[in-house]
Amino acid sequence: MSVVRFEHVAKSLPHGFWLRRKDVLRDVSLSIEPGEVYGFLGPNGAGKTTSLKCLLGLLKPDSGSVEILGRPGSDPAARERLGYLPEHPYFYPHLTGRELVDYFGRLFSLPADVRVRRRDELIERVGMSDRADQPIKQYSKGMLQRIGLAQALINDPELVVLDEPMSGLDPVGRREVKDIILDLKAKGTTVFFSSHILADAETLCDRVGLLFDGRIVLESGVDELLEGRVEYWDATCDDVSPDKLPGYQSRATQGGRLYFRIPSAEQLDAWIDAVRGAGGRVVQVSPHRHTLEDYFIGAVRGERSSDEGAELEESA
Amino acid sequence: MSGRLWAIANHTFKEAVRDRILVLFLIFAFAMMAASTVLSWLTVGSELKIVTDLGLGALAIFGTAIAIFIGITLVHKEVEKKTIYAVLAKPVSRWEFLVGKYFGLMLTLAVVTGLMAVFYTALVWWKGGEFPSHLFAAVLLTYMELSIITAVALVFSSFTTPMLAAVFTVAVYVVGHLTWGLASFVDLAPGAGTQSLVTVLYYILPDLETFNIRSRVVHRLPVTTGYVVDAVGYSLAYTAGMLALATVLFRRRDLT
Repeated sequence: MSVVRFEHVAKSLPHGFWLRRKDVLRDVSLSIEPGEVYGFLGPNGAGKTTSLKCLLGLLKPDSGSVEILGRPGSDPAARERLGYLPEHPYFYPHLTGRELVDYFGRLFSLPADVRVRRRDELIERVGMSDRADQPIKQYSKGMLQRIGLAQALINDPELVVLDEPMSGLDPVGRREVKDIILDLKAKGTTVFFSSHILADAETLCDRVGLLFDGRIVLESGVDELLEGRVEYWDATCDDVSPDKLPGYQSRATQGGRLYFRIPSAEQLDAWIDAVRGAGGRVVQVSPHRHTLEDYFIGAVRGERSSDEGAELEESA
Repeated sequence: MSGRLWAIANHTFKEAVRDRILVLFLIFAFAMMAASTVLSWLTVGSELKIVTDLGLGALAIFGTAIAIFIGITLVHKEVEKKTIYAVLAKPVSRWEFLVGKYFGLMLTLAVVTGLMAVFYTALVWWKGGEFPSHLFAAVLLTYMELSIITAVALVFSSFTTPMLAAVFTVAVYVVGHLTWGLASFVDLAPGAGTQSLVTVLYYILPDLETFNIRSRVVHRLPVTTGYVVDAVGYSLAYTAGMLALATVLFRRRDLT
């Protein structure tokens, strides 16, 4: 059974002064299997948050269906085993961090001893022990994000939904959030997070879906996406003079070192032989792969140009 | 009461009492009650009546002001400040959220009304008056009126802005105190259409004057237990109807 399932979800929302309805989601279908970390990517305004709100029953899809652990998203019981961190967490300013986590624990009807134990453990884990008894209105953005994570985990969820968990965090904070996501993954928790920070998605996700203009335009395992897609190799050698390596144009020299860019694996073999034959020493060889960012930009550009093409055709 | 309902009610109460505005309202209420002693000097012989009358009036007015002021923002504030997302992402149904908020405000109003009643009683006692015999009934019925007003405010709060909700709720409050006028207007209204409109309004709007037994208390007229029981029952039924309506309106709403 899929943990999360979107079936052809479409949603329009009122927009502007006359509240004209604008299509935000056109056709979103995806499913997330147990234990997966799924990155929901897309440019700003693509409909990521709207999709998550449909999942949580905050919005009713115009058509299509949403399921959490086999139950419809609008059923409160579906959210029993779910943890959610909203985008830019907004929490009650008059509560302290500890009171907030406690309040959300009560909404899960946890037994008092479990609630108190988990509350204090989680506050410790997100590094908020010192500030937990201060009112939330005094919190910085990073602190809000941390306390938001603590409340999202209070029910020991099977599925964690994180809306832009890294946004607004400093490098240390991002690292800590990443570690928490990796811990969850190790525990077998399913994680569904939206982000536009691709480097994070690349290191964390098993699978990514790219949302553009209300549609999933690309869905793939991260490994398949990046595997074998070496663009070129950066190669460095030592103790050899450039004229002993005819046919290879070094990109730079530093001290006795020569830097080359080799376009393919076969040529790399030949290059290594040439360096060794000339009595040189290979210092370093590193593949340069496509990053998720390259795909992201490529896919978004592709979509944009095909949209423009369609518009041109229509006007012609 | 389910744990969730109680958690939401308790949280709403906490939010209200941590807001300075509530303290401000209370200070004004106390000040107005205390001012009634000054006014009473202007009259001869009926000093105590002025104090009892104005004091109970102040209790009702400030109770109503707090009910409307907090009631109209109960839902809207959560949507506006986006705090509602994290709450409704928990296994909380929309009706639990609304009813929890309602109970939270009623809890706040119980405490506030209680404090005002204590202050009032102390004032009357200090002026040498004896304890008005039906004081408890008068305060209880005021509280039952607040229950209806809060529920009406919640209905409006569940789909419109605080400003409009305030206007609508105040309108219901004012007209609710004049429904006896509507009843007599039915026969005078021109045309059957107007007549049936007025009749419908008469039945839809709450009859808030039912809960006003203040003059009976001041003039030491009898108040029967049956009357109080009927009024409480009326309030509970009307409140339940309003909460059901608020739930229907709120359940359909998209929380963008």
